[in-house]
Amino acid sequence: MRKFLTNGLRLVLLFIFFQLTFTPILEAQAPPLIWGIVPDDDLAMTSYTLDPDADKVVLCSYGTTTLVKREASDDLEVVYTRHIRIKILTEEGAKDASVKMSYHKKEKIFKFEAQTINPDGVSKVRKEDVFDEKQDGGRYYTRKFAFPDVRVGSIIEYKYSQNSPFVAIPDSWYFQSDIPVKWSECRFTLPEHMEYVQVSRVTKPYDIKEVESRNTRSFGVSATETTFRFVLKDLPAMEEESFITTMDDYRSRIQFQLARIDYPSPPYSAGAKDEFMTDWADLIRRWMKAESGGRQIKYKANHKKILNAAKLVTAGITDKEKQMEALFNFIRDSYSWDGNFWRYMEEKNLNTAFENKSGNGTAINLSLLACLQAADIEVYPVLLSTRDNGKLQKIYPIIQQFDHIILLAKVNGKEFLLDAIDKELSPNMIHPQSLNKEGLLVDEDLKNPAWVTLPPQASDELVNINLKLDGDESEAEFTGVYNGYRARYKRKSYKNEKEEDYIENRLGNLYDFEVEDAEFQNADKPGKRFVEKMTLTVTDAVDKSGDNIYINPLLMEQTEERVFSLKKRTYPVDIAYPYVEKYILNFDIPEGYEVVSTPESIKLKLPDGDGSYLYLVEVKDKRIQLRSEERLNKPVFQPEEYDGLKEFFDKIFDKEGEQIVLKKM
Amino acid sequence: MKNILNVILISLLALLASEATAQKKGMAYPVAAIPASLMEADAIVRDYQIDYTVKSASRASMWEKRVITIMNDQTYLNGLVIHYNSFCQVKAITGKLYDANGKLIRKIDKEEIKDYSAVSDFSIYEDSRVKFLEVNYPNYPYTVAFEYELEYKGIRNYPDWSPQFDYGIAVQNSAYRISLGKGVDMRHKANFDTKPAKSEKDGMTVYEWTTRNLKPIKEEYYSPVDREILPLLRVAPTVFSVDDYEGDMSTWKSFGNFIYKLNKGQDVLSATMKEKVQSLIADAKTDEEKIAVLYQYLQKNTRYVSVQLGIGGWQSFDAKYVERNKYGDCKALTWFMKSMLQEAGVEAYPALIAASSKPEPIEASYSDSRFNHVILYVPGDEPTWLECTSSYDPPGHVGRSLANRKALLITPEGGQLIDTPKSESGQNTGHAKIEVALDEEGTAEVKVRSTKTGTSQEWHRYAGSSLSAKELKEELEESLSELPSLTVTHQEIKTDETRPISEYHYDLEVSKLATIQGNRLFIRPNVIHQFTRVPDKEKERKQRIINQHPYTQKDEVEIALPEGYASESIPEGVEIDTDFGRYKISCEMKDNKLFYQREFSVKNFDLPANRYQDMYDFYKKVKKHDRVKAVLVKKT
Repeated sequence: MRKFLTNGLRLVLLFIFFQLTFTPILEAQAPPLIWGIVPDDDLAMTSYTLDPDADKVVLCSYGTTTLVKREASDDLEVVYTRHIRIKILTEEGAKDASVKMSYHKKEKIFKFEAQTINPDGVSKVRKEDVFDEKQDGGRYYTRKFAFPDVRVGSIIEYKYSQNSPFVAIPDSWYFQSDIPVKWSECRFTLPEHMEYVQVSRVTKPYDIKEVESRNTRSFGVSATETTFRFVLKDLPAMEEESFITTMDDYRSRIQFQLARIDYPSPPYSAGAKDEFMTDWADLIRRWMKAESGGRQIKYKANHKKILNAAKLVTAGITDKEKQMEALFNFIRDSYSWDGNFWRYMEEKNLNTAFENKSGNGTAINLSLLACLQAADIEVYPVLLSTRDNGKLQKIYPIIQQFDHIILLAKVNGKEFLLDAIDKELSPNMIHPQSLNKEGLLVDEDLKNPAWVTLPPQASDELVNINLKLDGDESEAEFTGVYNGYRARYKRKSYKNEKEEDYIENRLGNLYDFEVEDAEFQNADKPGKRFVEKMTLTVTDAVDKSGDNIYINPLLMEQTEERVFSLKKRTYPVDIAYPYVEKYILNFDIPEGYEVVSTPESIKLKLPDGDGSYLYLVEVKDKRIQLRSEERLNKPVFQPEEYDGLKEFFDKIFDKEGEQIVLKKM
Repeated sequence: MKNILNVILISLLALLASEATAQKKGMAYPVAAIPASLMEADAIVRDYQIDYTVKSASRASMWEKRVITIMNDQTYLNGLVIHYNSFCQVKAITGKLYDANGKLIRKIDKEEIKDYSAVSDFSIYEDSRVKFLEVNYPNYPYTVAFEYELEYKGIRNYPDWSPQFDYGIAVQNSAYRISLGKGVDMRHKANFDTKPAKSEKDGMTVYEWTTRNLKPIKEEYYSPVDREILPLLRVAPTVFSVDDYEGDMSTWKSFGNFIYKLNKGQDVLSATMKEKVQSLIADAKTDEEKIAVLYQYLQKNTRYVSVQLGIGGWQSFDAKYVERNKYGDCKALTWFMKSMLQEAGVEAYPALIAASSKPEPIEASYSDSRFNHVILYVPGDEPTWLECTSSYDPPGHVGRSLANRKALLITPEGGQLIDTPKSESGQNTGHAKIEVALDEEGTAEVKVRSTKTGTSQEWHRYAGSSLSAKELKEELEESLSELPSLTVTHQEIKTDETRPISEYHYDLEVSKLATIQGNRLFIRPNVIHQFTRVPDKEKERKQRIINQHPYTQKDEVEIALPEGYASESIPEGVEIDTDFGRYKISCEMKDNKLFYQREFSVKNFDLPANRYQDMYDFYKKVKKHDRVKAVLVKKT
């Protein structure tokens, strides 16, 4: 019965550090590794003690990020250096000994070297075997190369420097990788007139964190330069997962963002400064001022054509809530969502997006906002981070973490969350990607940030089968009623398939049946419950053997595979939204038979009321009734809760395999 | 008869009239102008034109226009993908969007055209790229119109014409024109009834094919390869030239000759490598032993890394490149292996092949460049095929993506078509002995000892060489998700060095393998190998039904029951022999033990469409019998 669950399985995690205390040190630390010089132990190593299964291990991954103010020009610059050394432990590890690295066309890679070190010598990667491949119309490049002469036991290493003009958000440093890492070190250096915010998302505290200062020249004056050093040792491999964007969320990393520059005076005028990050109110002001953000709703010229087109939509409707609904449907159906999320729209303005009938999530929802404002409905944008984009941190006002905008409308004393990006959505039912806990209310009048919770709509299903045996055949009346995200899911598959294919897939191939009659309700009405009613003739609903009849009371609703087959899980289980699944079977006992055995009724509970399962069999008069109810009350289960969750579902699986036995009297 | 003609005439007139009014109003391609018989489709190709002009052996240009009405979101034809590379540049792309009435909604902006590398996952570098453009509109149906031009500075093949694009697509009107300049010619082969009109224009010879009103074709399981089903015109050059290499594709022989010349001289080993080969084969007595030892050297010392530049799609890197880097793509590794064998005195030939799950049609009478892979062929009484990119196949193993098809041998005398071996169910076998010990609670200890051969052991060989113990365990846990909660207590894969045989052993502890309900015990005696992949029901099967991946699986299960149970209902013996496969089970109870035997084989078959229901019934029966439970009652 849990076909949904496997679709929604996601992983989540963990700790975020902001304020760190550093150990001050006086002398500059030597780099943790030197090009071409490999300790004998590393060369002789045959397996990695902490992960004997590993195909490869990162012996050391070392990166520096340095902010530089060039004397000659006004330009600020980031200079990165990277040096990665990997030990190959198995033939499998030798197979994919190649590297792909991406950089922007305004960035320059220099001092690039790569080599394979074997006990009998060193093989360098030759220049002609290194490729720079254009991406995205030439905005980005990918450098690709494969290491030569790689065998079990080889050590491969590469290093390079990179200049970048993108100083506001330097590249994050990822400590963790999909192979184990012995030592990962990042050094971040900046001049005293620049202030950066650092956000660490790590699975354990740093093994080393130090700070060191030295004198240099910057911004035309002598100044102190500070280096922060972060080291994490012995990091386990990231488990491979198909949702790679989300996996980034769980990978230990440190991010930087420029907060302010205080220019020294002289040479700059007194008090000169640039603020890049202050508080949430400022972030909201900045978004509202942005050309492809708030300006689209502030200035009527940007969305006039939408308002003209929407004029008649609310004609004759006086109730504000009904007006909102009509405008929601109008915008939703006027657009074809291009599948993208971004905190700004991509077209020139809302008029263009509307005329193109196509846009990203923000373009669509801002169009709706414009309409609602024109109808005098109180409405605000809500900035959020979609599930694939990762979790929000609420300490620092960093705009980069947001990638979508939905709306909060207040009508007739009620609040509605609006996300009009696809055809199956309705007021208060936002896209599953938007179900990421909280969003930031964009209200310029507020001094303090207001966080809007993003609760999933109640999602449930009820399946009812009435089964009657008639000679060798049985007649089954099958009814399914679905609400919330369950209805959305069902409606989508119903619309994407031919009706007869939908029915085949819905009922599976455990039984042989003919569909006598089928009826579907509300297939075109998002927000309403979806109903399916079928009358079936089933030839093998029961097994007859001698004087006995055996029947599995779950019939076509029995689960064929366990949901959680793996013994262990490293990351949390995320089912996106809580749900209730109910099932009722009414089975008329055939004439001349008596019940000899029925499955035992049971009740299961997850701790803290997180979920429950009920399986209840009753024999009354000439009828057997089974009622079951499966309930999960929260969307995310932590790894330490996995064992309990797995056991819960395993027991349900076992229960769903049990049979009723009847005997001829 | 007259009536029918009238109807046709009237609907034709209506069609013309609606087109005409549409034109007058400045509209184009209204949905109303689509004949009703074509409407049951995901998309309708309104107009699709290819104009391909070959100026010389190395210069050509192509103009393409496609106008497509999109009916729903189940098609990708609202997008345009144009492949290009260093020989072929894209010029002028335009796109337009019309609504259902044929009103122009908008023209596509240049900025909407994306540019990507077309490098496949398995390749580290290729110079092939794509331009990509997608048009979306919320109200179906809508119509997209694309036009673009390509300029070729080197010719490797001529474009094919596939007016229907894919399953579920109808065609109203389509045409393909090829104009040939002096000194060039073409050959063609169509899988549907179509003949070109020939004419002369501006000193060029023009061939034109047209087609109208093609109804959509449904995609079906177990069907022949797409290229046999969807209408397809293949067109290929005679003489062609690329990167200053001239070739002739007129015959397999001449095309093979071109590939041979292109790669001549790439097979020279260094002196050190020659010595290495000699020392490796020092103890080998027969050619077979030489092949085995050199193949194993290749497998242990090189790896697959694909780099394809310019003519590199056809020309191999030289043997020294592989010696130096210890890596190469299929061509480089195959030519390197050939060079080693040559040094050892064993003659071998590269064989171009189209690797895919279903063999593509390749005929002796029509030569073109359909291949995407190359393997090595060693002639002899028992010829040996070597897949040089595999690090774990035994020498001579022909995998399921290579078996049962034609390959092109590249010999000094030119190309020569040859058949790869056919796969038979007797070669691809599994034999499992499964011992189950059940306790009073229904918990079981399960021991599985199985031997696999042929294609049935491909996974085991891969897993044994590439997966860690942890991954192997997870694979097994996931593959047994139809069993109740279990723990893997032992797991082992052994592979034979020189033959395609693997052994797979594992032990499990399964809680509740049997359900105890009152004094009854329920257990499914087919513990491990349950067949679940029943194909979809198909009411109106159109295509032949084909299977080319035959195999046999044999299980002997012995279940030791807890004390004191007697049989109430155990699975009845079943024997089904069909053209699709054989299924046989037997079950008996003896000395408090349940003995269950199952043999399931899937045959090689190629049968008419009307047998589909029989095939469905067969698989359905297998699934059903595989799930039957034995019911035992405790003696009181």
